[in-house]
Amino acid sequence: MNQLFNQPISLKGRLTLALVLAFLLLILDLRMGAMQQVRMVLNSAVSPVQYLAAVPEQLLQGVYESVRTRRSLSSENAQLKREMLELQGVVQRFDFLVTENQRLRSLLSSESDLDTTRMVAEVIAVDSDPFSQQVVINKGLLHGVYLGQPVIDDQGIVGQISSVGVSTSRVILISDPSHGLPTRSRISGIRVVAQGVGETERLELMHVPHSTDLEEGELLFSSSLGGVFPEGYPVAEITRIRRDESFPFAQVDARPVAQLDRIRMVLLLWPADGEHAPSAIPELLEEAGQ
Amino acid sequence: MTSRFSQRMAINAALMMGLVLSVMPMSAGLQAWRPEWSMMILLYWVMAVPNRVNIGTCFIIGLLMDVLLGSTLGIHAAGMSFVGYIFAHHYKRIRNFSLSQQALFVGLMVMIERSIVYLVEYYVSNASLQSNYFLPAVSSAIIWPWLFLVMRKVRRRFGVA
Repeated sequence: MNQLFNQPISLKGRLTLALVLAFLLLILDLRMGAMQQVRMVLNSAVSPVQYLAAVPEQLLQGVYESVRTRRSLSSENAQLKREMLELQGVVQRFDFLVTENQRLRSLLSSESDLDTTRMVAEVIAVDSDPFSQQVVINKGLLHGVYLGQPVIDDQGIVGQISSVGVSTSRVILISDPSHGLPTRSRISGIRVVAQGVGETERLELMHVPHSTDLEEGELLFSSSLGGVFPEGYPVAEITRIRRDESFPFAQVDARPVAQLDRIRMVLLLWPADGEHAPSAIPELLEEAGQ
Repeated sequence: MTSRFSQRMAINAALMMGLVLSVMPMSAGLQAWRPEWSMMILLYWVMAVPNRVNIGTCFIIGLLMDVLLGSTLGIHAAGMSFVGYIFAHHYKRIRNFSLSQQALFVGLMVMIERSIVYLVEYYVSNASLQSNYFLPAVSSAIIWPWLFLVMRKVRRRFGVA
């Protein structure tokens, strides 16, 4: 039992060793680049834990699906059909506008923007770390996910990929304190950077002059200036503008359009002109398995 | 007496369970109250079998927590190692504490670990402290007596010593 004190390194020695090692890791990780590969390996190593943690919720969901009554299913079906009809109506108009837009752009001899490719991913873990806002999704290197890839949900922009594992990857949300997103307002066309503050319901707009034309309730869209997010996806709605002259800039708050606190399904985007493309390997494997 | 291998497996399975509980999705309201599962299970093993589970294991579990939570590598590793050191150093005294004393002590440990994590995060990314940051210390202290009894059952079942 008392081997503890016969071991080659004393407890204090072990603690010192652990703290020094932790400090080294910290420095290495902050200086990025070098650790990206290590992180990928570690992320893949812990992915079983993440899949395991998601099991109870999926089971509950499965039970819920299987005990639903015929009535609630058929009412949901009717509602979905109605929504589908409405959306198809909108899409008809949209198709027409897209072709017209392309024609106008070609008349102006400017580049026309192409379609993006999308893939649905499921959120399998949400971080309980209060200092960062990240989620883990069930798509990774195998599916062609790459670093800095834009992620959206059905409402608007959610975030971007911050690290990739083999079959999982990590999304940093736009509400993370280290995330800034270049946007453009819908009406006035003013460019502002939406900075996360660590709350899912609030972004701050940076460096807005007191004389700004922005108004409360205005929608902000991605501006594609940062080179990460494609243009024209909704980001946030301005909720409050405070013009306190004692501060150098006006203080503007915005609420993200995407429901960051309850995301389940997200869409991964692959811009058409980029060098990245979704990988078809997993689908082929699935087909072969069936 | 079960084999050394199956004892090791019991220890590892419990630690793994702790990690799973630490990242399991919870409703947003309860999120702030989530007890520090992996740390409590780790501390139980350090107290029960300090010759087998001590600072090295703490460091590894902390590192895995860093990866799982997406924080900068080394932060939780440092915190866990420090708390593990306190437990390994005083394991005899802690064993003789009553359950409620142990619970208070574990709450204190959670507070120390979270303070270390916060201090490092503050230097690294200028993080701001939220009012509910130390709630897990309370919930961990409340859970500890039950966790202790369950873990003791597990330990006796597998004859870990």
